[in-house]
Amino acid sequence: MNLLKFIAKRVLIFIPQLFAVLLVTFLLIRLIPGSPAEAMAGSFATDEVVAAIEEKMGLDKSLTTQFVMYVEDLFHGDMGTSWYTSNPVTKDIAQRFPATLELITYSLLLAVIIGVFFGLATSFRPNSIGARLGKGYSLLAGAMPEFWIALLLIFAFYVTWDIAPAPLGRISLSISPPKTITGMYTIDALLTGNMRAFKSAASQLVLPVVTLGLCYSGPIMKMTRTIMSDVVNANYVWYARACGLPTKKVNRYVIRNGLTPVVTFIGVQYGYLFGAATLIEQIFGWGGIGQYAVSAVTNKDYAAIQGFMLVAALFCMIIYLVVDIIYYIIDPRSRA
Amino acid sequence: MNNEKPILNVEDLTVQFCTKKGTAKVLNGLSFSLRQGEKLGLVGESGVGKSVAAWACLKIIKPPGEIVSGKIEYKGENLFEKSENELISLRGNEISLTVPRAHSQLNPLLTIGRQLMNAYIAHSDLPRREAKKQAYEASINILDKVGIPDPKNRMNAYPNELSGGMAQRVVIALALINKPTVLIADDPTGGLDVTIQAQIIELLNKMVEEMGTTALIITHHLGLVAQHCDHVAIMYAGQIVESCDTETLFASAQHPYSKSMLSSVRDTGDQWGPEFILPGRPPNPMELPGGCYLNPRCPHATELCRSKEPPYVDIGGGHIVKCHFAKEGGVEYGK
Repeated sequence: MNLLKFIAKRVLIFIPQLFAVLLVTFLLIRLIPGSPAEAMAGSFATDEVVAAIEEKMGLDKSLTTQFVMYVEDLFHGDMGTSWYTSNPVTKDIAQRFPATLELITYSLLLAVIIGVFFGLATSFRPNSIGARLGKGYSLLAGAMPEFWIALLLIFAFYVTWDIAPAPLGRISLSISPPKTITGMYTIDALLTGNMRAFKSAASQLVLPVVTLGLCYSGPIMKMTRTIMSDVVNANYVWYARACGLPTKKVNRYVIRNGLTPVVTFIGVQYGYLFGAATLIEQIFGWGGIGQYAVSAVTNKDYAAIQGFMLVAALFCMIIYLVVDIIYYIIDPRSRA
Repeated sequence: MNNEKPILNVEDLTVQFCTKKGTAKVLNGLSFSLRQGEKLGLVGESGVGKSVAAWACLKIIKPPGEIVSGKIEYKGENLFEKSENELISLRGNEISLTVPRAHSQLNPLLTIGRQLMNAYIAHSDLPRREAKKQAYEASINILDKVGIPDPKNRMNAYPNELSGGMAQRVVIALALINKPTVLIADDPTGGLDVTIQAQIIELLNKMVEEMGTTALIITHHLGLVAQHCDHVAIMYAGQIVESCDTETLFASAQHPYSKSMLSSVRDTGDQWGPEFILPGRPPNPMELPGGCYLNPRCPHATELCRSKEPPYVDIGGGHIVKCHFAKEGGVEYGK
């Protein structure tokens, strides 16, 4: 019951938070010099043409009116129309958001597996092969920028050995995407039993996921190692030993208490990856939401930027909420 | 001297911590023994190695500490020759430890009931389900005994929901749940309010009497020792400098350090005036002075004290003093 109350409270806070994000984004993008109407009309357009376009876009109205109109539309599920793609922003986002979500979710999963495994290995068995590998790896991870790793992987696995598919999107061009349910190809393909699409989508995912997984496992591993080395020497762990708890049980104390803060860190990374995967999306022609946002900014595509910001904010809030719920369940101190 | 075999016998225990800054000699030939049913008070200032000694009795030395020499015998068997598994089944079961500042000693993510049950199950040979059942009963029982109201509900409390005094009671419950033979109470009053201190001491005393536990009480609190201990050992720089029964200490302490301790506390009797208080602080374990470790602070120190370690002298009736000037009947200072 308390948990439900806790969630309800947090969700209520979402509303002012989202509103603030909306307002700030709305004002900030209008600070980008130059009117989007000018950009649309081209460099030879007369002032009258520009003014006409501005009127059509609603840019001639006062900021307040524009904002009120935008929020009103939002309540009807309308995020406006992208001037650049000329699609409704909702449609664009519905298409691209699952692409990014799929990419970063698998990447984070891989990063967590690698990072936590090596992190635990280096703190529990400092002399094992795993620990040594981990130490060397942690020196490398983070030293190389992700786009460079991506290019290396493409060069090795696609160009040289030709075992990976071409880095051109989320599914082979000769295969039609599975029926849209969640928008994530691998999941949709599994749900519809379309194994051909699944295989293709999965193989397209391998290189970008490995790239991001490698890059983002480094910090997770370092974090895990630091926290573990603290927890191993925590008073309560020593006292558990003094009480004669078997080593297995003591280790379980260490892992459980140590991984709690790692959960927060992973959550933060998930939120961060949402925007940070852009470069990788670009390299692999992913058509993700990060790419969409970048082109929206360069084209002064107001509605698209606002839409992206809204979705990104909501995504982060939901992730943090989930992290807090996990915390609530495992750490009684957070319940106060 | 009592000829009965000691239940816990620490002999010439030397523990060092090797760090980059140098070697800290924390215990330097510590020896004492505990006889069945006895309550021994181990007294010394902060930083003389009391806690290290307490943990060493379980053969737990936190890194980078190392046992350099010595032995600890429990019921005649040397702990240092036992396997880790044998030690684990001894810890918290036969020899238990209570620790000060209980809040940080309890796992913050587990209910106190779960922690008590874990301690019980760890030393139970029964099949899991039965052990659990028994552990539950035993936990409620021990919480009730250590004076925690409404123990059934309190089983579900987390450490952060307890006051300092309550947490200390839980630690005592943890130490006593398996009815140990020897209880080592490391600074049981540390970090507690004065009124709570009295309660905790009362409780410890009651529990030890009830269970017939042999107790080693480690403290800097002489009043506590006066009230509850049969014997006292005064510790300085990782050694015992004087040991005798409690009354003897308060009536006629001999070692200058013991005198200094007695005179720095009120209520130890009129004869311990401020004139006995020694200047200075305990030595840094990385730079121990040569000879008697007390010599830089001792008004009676001579060339002999600076060059040679003093022997342990029995001045009569098991009253042992580590001083060059100790002889049968007392300590007489020369020139």
